Amino acid sequence: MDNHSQLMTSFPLFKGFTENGTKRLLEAGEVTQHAPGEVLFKEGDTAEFVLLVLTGKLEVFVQRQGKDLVLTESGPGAILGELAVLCGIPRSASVRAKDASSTLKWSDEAFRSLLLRDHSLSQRVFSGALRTLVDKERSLIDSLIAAQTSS
Amino acid sequence: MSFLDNLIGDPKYQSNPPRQPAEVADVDIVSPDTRRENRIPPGQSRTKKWPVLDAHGTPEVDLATWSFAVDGLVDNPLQWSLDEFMQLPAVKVYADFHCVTRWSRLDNVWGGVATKEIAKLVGIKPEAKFVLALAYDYGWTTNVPIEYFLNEDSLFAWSHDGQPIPPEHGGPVRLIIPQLYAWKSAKWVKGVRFLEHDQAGYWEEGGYHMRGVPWGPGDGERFRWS
Repeated sequence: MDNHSQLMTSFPLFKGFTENGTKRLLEAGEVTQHAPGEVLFKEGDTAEFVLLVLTGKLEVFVQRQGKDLVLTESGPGAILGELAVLCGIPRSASVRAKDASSTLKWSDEAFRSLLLRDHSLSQRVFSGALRTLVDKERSLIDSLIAAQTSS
Repeated sequence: MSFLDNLIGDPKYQSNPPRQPAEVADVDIVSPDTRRENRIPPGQSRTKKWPVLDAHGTPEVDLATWSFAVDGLVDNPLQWSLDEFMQLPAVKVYADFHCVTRWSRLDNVWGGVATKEIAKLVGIKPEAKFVLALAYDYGWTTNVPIEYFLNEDSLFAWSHDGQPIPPEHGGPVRLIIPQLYAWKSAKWVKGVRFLEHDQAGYWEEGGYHMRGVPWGPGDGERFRWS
């Protein structure tokens, strides 16, 4: 736990946190180890938890027409699955461990409680989540334009 | 919400515009920030309500065993029961109240004992530069530079607008430091510790500002990451 609390103070999302501060975040959740290939959640699942990547690397992917399409890779410090929890919608993609990894898992309720009480953390989490969406939209627009240009 | 609803539903609702300090009778100290032409700090909005925010909910505080202790870098560490504490010389302070979550409640009259009075009784050692306020809610703390703690308008308050401070707002006694964001005004305070070196309190351990002046730079000293 000490190692994790120290590690978490180095994540941009928790800039300014002391180890006592990140220890409280750890106490609100559960640290789990994942072997390569382990699926942490699947597209369409009910969203019951949020993940923070502590070590290793996770892949966010969808399966279409029998094939895996990897959307992004997430390393230490990344939050995963928060949008589905906050919006109350099913998972929009699946997540699996690419390497041996560890995550901090907050239940839906614990995550909401953290954000409700901590104005600073909620501001950071929302701003990160919205930035991800805006980036995705931009890249979608770029892809559409590229497809139109080539056709 | 109608006037009647406000009256029935929220006795602390402020139907009128904030008074000017000169219009407020029967106070001993006027917080200097209430004399500003614009009393709303950057990035803040006025609320007419009195919202309730805390880290863990309202704790059960037993008034019979309540005590307030001062320790750390002082000549005479002291402890008071609630009765004894409320016998200390009282002052009334007119002040505004600025929450880091971006609301400001203007026009408050706090009654209690001035922090300067407590400092006089315990005798602060010259090496004390910071204060850690300790609270009844599960070890909650907050840190304050000693000069802000000792501001003339800082006090340990047991009344608000002439009424006892309700439990959800930090009663029986809360710290009030009008010139800093309101999380520094510890609810359910049970003591203070004088320190040579700054020590992060509960929210400060989560990246909140070590000082917390609402008036800038930028839109105020809110967080250590922004």
